[in-house]
Amino acid sequence: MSFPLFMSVTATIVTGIFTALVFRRWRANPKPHLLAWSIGLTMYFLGTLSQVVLYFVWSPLFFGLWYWCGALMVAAWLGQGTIYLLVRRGNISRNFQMALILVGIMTLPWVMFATPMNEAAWYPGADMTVIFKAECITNPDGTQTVVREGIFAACSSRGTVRFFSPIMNAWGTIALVGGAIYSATLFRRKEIMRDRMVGNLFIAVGGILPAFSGTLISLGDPSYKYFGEMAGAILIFIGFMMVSSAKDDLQKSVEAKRQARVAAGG
Amino acid sequence: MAESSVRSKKIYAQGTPERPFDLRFTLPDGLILAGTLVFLVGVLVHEYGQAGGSSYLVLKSLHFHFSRYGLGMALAMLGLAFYVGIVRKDDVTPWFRRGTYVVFGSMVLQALSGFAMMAMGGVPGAPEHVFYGVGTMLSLPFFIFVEVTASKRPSMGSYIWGFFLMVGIIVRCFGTGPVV
Repeated sequence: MSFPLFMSVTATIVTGIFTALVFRRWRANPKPHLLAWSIGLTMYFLGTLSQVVLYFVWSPLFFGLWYWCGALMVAAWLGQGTIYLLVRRGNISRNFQMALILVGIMTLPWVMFATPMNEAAWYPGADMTVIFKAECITNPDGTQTVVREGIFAACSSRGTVRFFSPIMNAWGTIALVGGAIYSATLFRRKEIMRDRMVGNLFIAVGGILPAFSGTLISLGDPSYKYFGEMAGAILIFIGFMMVSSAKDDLQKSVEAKRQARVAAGG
Repeated sequence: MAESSVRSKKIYAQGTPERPFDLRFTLPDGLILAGTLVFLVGVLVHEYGQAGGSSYLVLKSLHFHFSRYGLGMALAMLGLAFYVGIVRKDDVTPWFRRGTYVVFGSMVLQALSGFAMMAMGGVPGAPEHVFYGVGTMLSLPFFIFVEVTASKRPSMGSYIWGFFLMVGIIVRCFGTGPVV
């Protein structure tokens, strides 16, 4: 088993378990942020599963899913969950949700049915982060020449569904990572619930890793994509478990502080 | 400030609460509907005369003119939503909501004319034009849903979102529709 395959399989297993746990939690307590995270984690799972499948066989369906889930939807839906949790004012969260659903509805059939895929660029064991797009050089007259064919034949993302990728990823990453850092800062400032603070820091780092490795792909270096995916899933999972298990500590912390204030005043 | 607030409440008074999907018209939304229908009939009559009986060409002209009409209406409604929701800090008025339904209906008509052209063998300039078109049609219903089910008021922000996205998607449709 090659290292990329090992990382893809690990990420798939972790995200599968994580999805089931969050979905079960949503069933018990149907809050919108849990549903958004469930959807985001389902897409994370589908993306990594598609990656495993594509290691062995070519499938336009799984390639479309790999790209749509991984490059467009995962970060945005995970970020949406954090927006629901932290932004309570008006209907801002719900409006963000509708914009996200609209983009999803537009881009899914676009990827699946209207984006030409060059099957000849695939081979068993291929690194999807390398072959998914063509490698091109820009000529002095401004035209572009294909040096290596990719599954997406176009040299530029302009006018293609790939145009949405940086927008969706930036939005989702800022919401998820920013929200986690903000929450951690709040707990730190109030000096309560240390586990939740640390858990949010794990979530922040876990959210940054896939985004960072995705950015490196855009800059031409796909080396860390699989690692970022696997480590990101594991760290977010750990962070979520720490935050979830710290739920009952809030009351104890508040009570302890109240007693300390009473003792100091008395 | 208090006086203008009282005045705004008088002008935009909600009055007796209305159910969002009641079939009734008042002057402002009646004007929007009438204007849309007059535009539609005018385009059909004018283009039918020019197209020499070709229903494809009539549909194509209708699709073209309605796209410009839709952009104009979306910009106007966006401006109105901004004025009512941000400047006056008022809530959605029933006539604004019904005006939104009219704009949504015109986008459904736009989408249907596009699909009819495709059924007749027409091809858009770029394949993603179809998905942008679906996005144009769906941009309002999602935000209408948020607004009519919102417990937190005022809720004009939903229509600012909806019309803003609609304007952006229509502009993309312009770039992907015509065959080069």
